[in-house]
Amino acid sequence: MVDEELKHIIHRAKRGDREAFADLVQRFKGHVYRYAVGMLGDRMDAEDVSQEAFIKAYYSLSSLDNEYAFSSWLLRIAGNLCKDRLKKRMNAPIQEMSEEQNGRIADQHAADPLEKLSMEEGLSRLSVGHREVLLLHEIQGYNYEEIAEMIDVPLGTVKSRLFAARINLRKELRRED
Amino acid sequence: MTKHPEEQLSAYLDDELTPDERREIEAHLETCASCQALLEDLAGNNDDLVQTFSLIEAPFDLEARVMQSIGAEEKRQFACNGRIVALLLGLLTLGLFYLLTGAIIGKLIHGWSKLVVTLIYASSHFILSVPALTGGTIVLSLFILVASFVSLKRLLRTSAS
Ligand SMILES: [Zn+2]
Repeated sequence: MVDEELKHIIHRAKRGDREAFADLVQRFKGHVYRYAVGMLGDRMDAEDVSQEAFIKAYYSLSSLDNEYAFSSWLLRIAGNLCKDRLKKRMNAPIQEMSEEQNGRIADQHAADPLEKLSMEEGLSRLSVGHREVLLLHEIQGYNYEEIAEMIDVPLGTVKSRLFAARINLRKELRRED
Repeated sequence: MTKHPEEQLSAYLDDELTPDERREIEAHLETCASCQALLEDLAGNNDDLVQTFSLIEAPFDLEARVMQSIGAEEKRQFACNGRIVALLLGLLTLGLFYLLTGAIIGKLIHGWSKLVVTLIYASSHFILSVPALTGGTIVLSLFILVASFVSLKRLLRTSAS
């Protein structure tokens, strides 16, 4: 994914070239947005976070010293923003939540126990840590070593966490009780 | 390793095993139907997950929105800096104005006070030099003194009652 052309664009963006940065947003918005949707389970929140992540990236691009690490650096920014938002959501009273979130909570309570969950619903029931490794591995395509570095945990933890995430997801998707 | 090497199965799926570990798992899979089923399940869920997310498209105008808010932020900062510069310029102008006019006003006040002192001095001299005016002034002063004393007494009485 990282070729010389991309490296050149990142270099230009680093020097304050806005057109180059717009090009980066266009290239990476899918990665960031899908990651945010997976982490947050909400399109509106994911849009906000994606926008925020790119703006943050724009202003801290000068601190990126390895152009080859751009995508993982960007996803780390997005991941932190997602976690902040999830924390805020936990503390927020119900009435402050969006209609969509309220609706989904109501759905979860009223759901037919025999009806199969959608993949997105199943994913939303996993812990944040499990969602994180699953998304980074399956959707973003990072290997164990890269994930370990991105989320700052030992390699063995990535392996066991990914396994636990898969087992839990399987349990949620085939839940029969 | 447990009876069913499930965690290794997950890593096998991701191609994250050493060649030795890999051979071990493959040997186990050949004989264990439950691990075969689990592997199939996990692989199937992975495919579903990838399929689900491949359909999620980022908003088409995201880059426009990002660039717009970066532009707006920079404009705001520019405006903010501009405001600070304007404020400093204003203060500077005011200061200069004060320095220039302050000297003149100071001189004016100084001159005036001298004039007033001279006038008071002259009038006292004038009063003392004419005897009739001196007596009149003394009577007038006494009258004002008595009047103020009476009015003060009345004021005290009304406020006490
Ligand atoms: Zn087995």
